[in-house]
Amino acid sequence: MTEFMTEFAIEVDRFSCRYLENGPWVLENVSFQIRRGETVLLLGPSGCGKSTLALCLKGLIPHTIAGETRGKVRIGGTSVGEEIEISGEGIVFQDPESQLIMPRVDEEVAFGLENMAVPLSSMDERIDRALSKCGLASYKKQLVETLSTGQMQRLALASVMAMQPSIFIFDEPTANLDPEGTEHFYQDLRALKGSMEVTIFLIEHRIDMALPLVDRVLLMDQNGRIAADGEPHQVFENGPTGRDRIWLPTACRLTEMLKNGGYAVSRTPLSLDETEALFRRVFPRLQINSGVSERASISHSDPAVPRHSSVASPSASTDKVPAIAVRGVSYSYPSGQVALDRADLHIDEGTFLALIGANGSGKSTLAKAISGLIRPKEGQISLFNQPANRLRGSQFMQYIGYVFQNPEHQFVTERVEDELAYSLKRQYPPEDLVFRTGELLDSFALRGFEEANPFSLSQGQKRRLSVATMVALKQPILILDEPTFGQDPDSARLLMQHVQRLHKQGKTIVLITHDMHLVLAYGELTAVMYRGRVIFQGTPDELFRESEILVRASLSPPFEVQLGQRLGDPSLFTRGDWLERLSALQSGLL
Amino acid sequence: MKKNINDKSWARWTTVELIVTAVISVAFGLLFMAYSLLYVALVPVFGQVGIMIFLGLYYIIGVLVPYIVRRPGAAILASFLAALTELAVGTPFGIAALWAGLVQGAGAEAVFAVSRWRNYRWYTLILAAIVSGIFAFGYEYILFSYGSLEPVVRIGLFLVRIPSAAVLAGLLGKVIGDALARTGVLRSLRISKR
Amino acid sequence: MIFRSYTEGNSFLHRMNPAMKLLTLSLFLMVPTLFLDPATPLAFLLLSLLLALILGRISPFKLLHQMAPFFVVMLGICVFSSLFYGGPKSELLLHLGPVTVYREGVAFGLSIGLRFLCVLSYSSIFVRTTDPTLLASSLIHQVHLPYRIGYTVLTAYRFIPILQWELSNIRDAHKIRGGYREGIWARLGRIRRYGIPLLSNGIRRAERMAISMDARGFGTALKRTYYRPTSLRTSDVLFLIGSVLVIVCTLIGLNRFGLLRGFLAGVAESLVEH
Repeated sequence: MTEFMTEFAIEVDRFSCRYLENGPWVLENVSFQIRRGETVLLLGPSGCGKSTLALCLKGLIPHTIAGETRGKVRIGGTSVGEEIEISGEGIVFQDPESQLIMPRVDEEVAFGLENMAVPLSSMDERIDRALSKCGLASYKKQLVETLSTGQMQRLALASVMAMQPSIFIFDEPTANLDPEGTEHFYQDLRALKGSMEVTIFLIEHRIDMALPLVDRVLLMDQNGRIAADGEPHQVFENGPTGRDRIWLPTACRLTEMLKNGGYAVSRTPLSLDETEALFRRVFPRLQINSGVSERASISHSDPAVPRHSSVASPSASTDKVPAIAVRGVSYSYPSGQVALDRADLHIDEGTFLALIGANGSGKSTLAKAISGLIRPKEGQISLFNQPANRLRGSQFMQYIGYVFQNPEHQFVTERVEDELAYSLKRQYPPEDLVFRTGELLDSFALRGFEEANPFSLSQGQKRRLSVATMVALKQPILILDEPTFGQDPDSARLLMQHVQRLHKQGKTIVLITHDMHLVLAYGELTAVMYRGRVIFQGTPDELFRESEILVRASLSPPFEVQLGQRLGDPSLFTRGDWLERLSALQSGLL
Repeated sequence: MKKNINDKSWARWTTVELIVTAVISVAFGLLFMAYSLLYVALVPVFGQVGIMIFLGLYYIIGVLVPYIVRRPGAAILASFLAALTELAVGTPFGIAALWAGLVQGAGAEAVFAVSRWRNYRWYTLILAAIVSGIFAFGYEYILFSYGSLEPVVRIGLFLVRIPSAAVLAGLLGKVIGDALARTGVLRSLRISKR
Repeated sequence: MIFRSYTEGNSFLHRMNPAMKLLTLSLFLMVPTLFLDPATPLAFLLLSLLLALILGRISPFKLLHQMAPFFVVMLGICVFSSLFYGGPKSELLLHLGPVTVYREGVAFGLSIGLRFLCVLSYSSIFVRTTDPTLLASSLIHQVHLPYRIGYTVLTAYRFIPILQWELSNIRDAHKIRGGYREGIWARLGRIRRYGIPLLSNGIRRAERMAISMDARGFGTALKRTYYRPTSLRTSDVLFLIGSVLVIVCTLIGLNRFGLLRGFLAGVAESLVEH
């Protein structure tokens, strides 16, 4: 391990960076210092320059990626200039698959060691150690392509760990992972922190998960400048304002509401334990594992929360039209792998359904079966009571718009306007096209980009374009496959607003996601998949009460739900009126 | 001795250029496999000589990659990797395809070498494609003993591929390269630095 | 889709140095092209089956089974070569209008067709017994290819399953947008339309991979070690020498039976006369 003689592991001194000559500065006059052994969290909106900063810290700009820099970055006292620091810093990126270059797991870990000219005799030991720290010891000789995404990311980490750097930089390492993968990755992170004195620079969106590990928080604003820098309590207590509010950890948001309700809070809690302790202090009448839940069921039941059957069997009792009915559907890949195993799903017209489950549980496969992209081996699917096996390929298009995870996969033309027209001309005569294209452009905030090449748009714009093309024919059903994948909370929210608008217009929405926050915020109904079967169908609140299902499907509830669980009612904080109810409980009105 | 992207050495490939070459070559290797099936299926329709009108596409890799990357050896490396991909996914021409790739690539490379890897205008690309085809003809001559075929047929096999190479490799290569450049994804490659 | 032509095993061929293997098998492959009679490629084809069985522990039936789909191609090659044969002719076999087929033509046609099968067979043997990493390694160590290019070969292997997967996703995404038609021209049009998303996504991945490699010190240091180095062993060299001997003996044997034809046949005859 490289030992640093100086106090500061990382020093950034009035640093600026830009990609284009005479272009805008992506990072502007950034300055901060990080001590050896500190764990720092960097927050900021998409495109603000976080990734650029990470690359500059490692020297990848200007070594691998062209860019102009001003100011200094010092690692352990030495300036990072045009040379790459091999062994001092390790960096793990967002996309697991693109970080792995070798066919086999052990070869991947060996790669860094080879570049460091580590003698062959020492390699095995270092490889084994790194793999076992990341839970991959039994996969040593396996082919990388057989690993799950979460495992791939752990391998990326192991490969960096083996090089024994003293600084670890993480650029949104869990953005592409499912909850299980994220959980494992954070386990590895905790172990890393615990075992040796390393300096960690973490760029993340999952504030709630990252916060417990962190000594310091840096907040970056839209323009690539540091807006706040300090201890977590410091930074969040004074509350970021305006658009930066998105970075408020849930604990702080809840505490703020408490404060506004007149309750005294001396120190803002950040972790789950601290928050629980606070609530118990403020509401001493809360008893462990009882308390609110019993009394809540007696009190007014919120009419806004729909009551659906919470059992995994389709309810045929409503008089609403079933938009999608799936009965006993099975499907296996040509390789023999079973993707769907007698899955059942029943979605009424106009419902907003969140389809959740771990990677590989069959969510995308089910969606593809519903869309007619694959024909199930057995079982029936019907759309608005029309049996799917009688529909021809082109007819599915009338019913369903399917927005793929990677919007680029769906682009067929070179201009945004043509892209919209491509979908529209299937149904509308040429005279109408201009008008309808204009409609879509306006609805999805794409005015001004008619001539642009779809591939050159920003992530958010690409997604909106993708959605726009899929609702062009006014299809009644819209399926979205991980639409907020890899996006920051802000852009995710913007997209979801568009989706909600479509829902209000009466469309049936199927949202495939890992993000439990989305489920909580937007899902009317949820369906959970596990190994090709739908093991639960019901409201989010009902879901959070089924702890066994959550465990089996490797789902981790969001912060407020976990807090609720600890206080006796998982759905306590999912309703807006929790403060009134807790106050009522406290003053004995219940 | 450490190098970085600001190194003006025109011969030294950056890692990005190497891996981009790999991915484009693999993409076309996969394409060629599918194309081969189509090719074989159409032989009864066009005849063994006529089918060569489609042959030119195979030379595109020795045009497109150099057009994008603009480094010495690009044509040979890309052709080799495309052939390796074909070998790996089961092309019937297997190892012979590997050597064919090297030979074709060498043809295109020769053309770019003449201008010391500086000229990538449309006529150079077309010429590279054609020379690729000529070298490939030489290789096939040995592999399939063209020497023992009717002279008319021999000439046909040679001539038909020329326009095919020019259009399906030379022109199409430029078209695809430019289309990719328009998506913005080639920003850090030499094609974007005029 | 899991791409795996390499099947693990522990035969002589599996353990052999890949670069040397490539060289030797290429020799076996190329020699028949020097002769014009059908017996030579047939002999080499049989040799390949023997080689696969003895040194590769591959069942000849499995090998033939793998080659089966391409017998049609072989037939096509035979027919074409027979029809357009331009060499010395003597015996007319068939005369249907403009179509004339001579005995020599048929022999020639068979020869070319069998050559094709040889290529197929030796290639299959190679792919089945060669670990990609070791191939790249031997290209670096034995062929002295610059190591950065050797690793580029490995990343190419990495991309194969990735791009196959992307391609099927793109195909699905396009299908759902409608306009999916069968037929030759539709297929060609599709190749064009899938190409851009496939390539642009691929290039982005490539950039990320390159960054990941550079971040771990690729290409910076002068000295470098290897986790799975390959070396040239005596057995490899012996195999090469042995192969050359076998080839020469086969040729002599064929010549003995008067089966050899082609421009080198004359050379072989004169050698034997000594």
